[in-house]
Amino acid sequence: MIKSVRVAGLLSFTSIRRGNPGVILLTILILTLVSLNLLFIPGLLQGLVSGANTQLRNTYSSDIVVQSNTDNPLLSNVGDTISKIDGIKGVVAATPRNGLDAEFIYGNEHADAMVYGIQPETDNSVFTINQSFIEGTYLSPGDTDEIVLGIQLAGADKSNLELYARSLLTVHAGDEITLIYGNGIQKQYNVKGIFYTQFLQTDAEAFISQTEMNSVNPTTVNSADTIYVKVKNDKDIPGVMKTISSLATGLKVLSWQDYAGIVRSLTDSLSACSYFPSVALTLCP
Amino acid sequence: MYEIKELTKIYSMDKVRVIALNDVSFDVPDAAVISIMGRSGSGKSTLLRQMGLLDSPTTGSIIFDGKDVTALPEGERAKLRLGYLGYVFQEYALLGELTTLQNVYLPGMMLNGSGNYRTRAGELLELVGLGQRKSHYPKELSGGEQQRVAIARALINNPRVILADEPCANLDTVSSNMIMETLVRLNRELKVTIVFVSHDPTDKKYADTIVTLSDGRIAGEPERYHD
Repeated sequence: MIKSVRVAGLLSFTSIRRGNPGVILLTILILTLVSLNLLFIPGLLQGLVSGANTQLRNTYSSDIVVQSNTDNPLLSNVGDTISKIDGIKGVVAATPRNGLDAEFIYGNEHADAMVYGIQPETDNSVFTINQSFIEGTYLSPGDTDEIVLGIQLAGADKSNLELYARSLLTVHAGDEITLIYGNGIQKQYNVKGIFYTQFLQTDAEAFISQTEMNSVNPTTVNSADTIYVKVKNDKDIPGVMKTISSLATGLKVLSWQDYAGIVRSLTDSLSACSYFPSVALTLCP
Repeated sequence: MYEIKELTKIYSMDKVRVIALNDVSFDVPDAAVISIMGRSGSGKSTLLRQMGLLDSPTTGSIIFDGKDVTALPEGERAKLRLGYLGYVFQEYALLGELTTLQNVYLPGMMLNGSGNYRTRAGELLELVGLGQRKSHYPKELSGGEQQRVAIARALINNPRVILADEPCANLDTVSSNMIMETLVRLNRELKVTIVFVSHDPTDKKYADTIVTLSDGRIAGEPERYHD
């Protein structure tokens, strides 16, 4: 080892002493930049992962997701269940949603997406979508014939959007669109607002009030296919999940990581990438 | 010292197989001067690379001091090269940033780490007639002088054998004679075995035995030139 260090020292010293000063300075500069990159890239990637996860939880999955674990995909007596969940220590809020697939029509443009019936007053306590409106306004509890669209669905003349080609292209707040629901019901809606959360899955969705959803799909009255729960701290999640599971039989309680599915695998991959520079920095100082 | 037994080296490039050495066998006695001769492409340098443990044969074996070194792991081969073999390259292979003295003592430093390798390097430069050029850099020396520095470097760890691959290929006649005479003198004075590759028939006079290669095979029996 000492022999190798001595030989390396001799070669380095003579190379520096005899070498071109410009090349040496350039080499030092490049190595400095490489080192800085190795230090900053993991932080950058971790920041991206953290940002993506925050958007996921604030706009798509919440912290805990409750669904039915029985043959009936709907959770009944949802009002009672929500009240019980709200009473659990560590829970900030809980909100129900009911999803229904639909075909969206605007002029000659067609698009397929999920429409969710939401309770705007509690949805706002769990999600932050209401803070992401770029046109129009959010839903009010009693709204009927009103719909809000994600930007990836509306298009809104923003041709640089990822899913623009599959969107309605030119829909803006105040426009009238037609929906044909999966259960066959057809209805016209006024586009009350367009939101842009910068989370792709959320921005490809649409929302109506639960009151409106009840009129389109009466089976959802006092029912929900999903309850979304927000907790105060991450460390509360396992305990709250356990308590929710004990509230009733037939509940499937998922953490946001489990619910996120493919999104989680993407962020996990990004997290894994962030370790490579750290490993390189450790192995090649 | 060396027993070369049925050595074959085949290079495979895509679907083309090139037989560089084909069943080559001969012995190298202690303190001998062996010349490997032959036309360009006959396998001379390939044979020397196998003997210098810089490459591994496809089949056959190389016995060095009674020990089969053909399949040694790379670490062992490197130790053997550093401690027992000196290699002189056609292109000198000196480090331009180091002085002649540093070039010569570098392998000594790698082998011993400490000790008198600096003094020994100075003595070797005297031996090859470059005692006054210790602090010069390679680019300040002629081709012949650089090759003599390379020979001194090959001797720094007191090797049992020097393997020289066309040491005079890039030199004029005067410098070539000086190099070959230096090698022969080292053989006489230090009893170091010399194996050199050459395509110049006039170099025969420096060798005790001549091994002539043709298309990877030994042409005839090794020829005794001096007794």
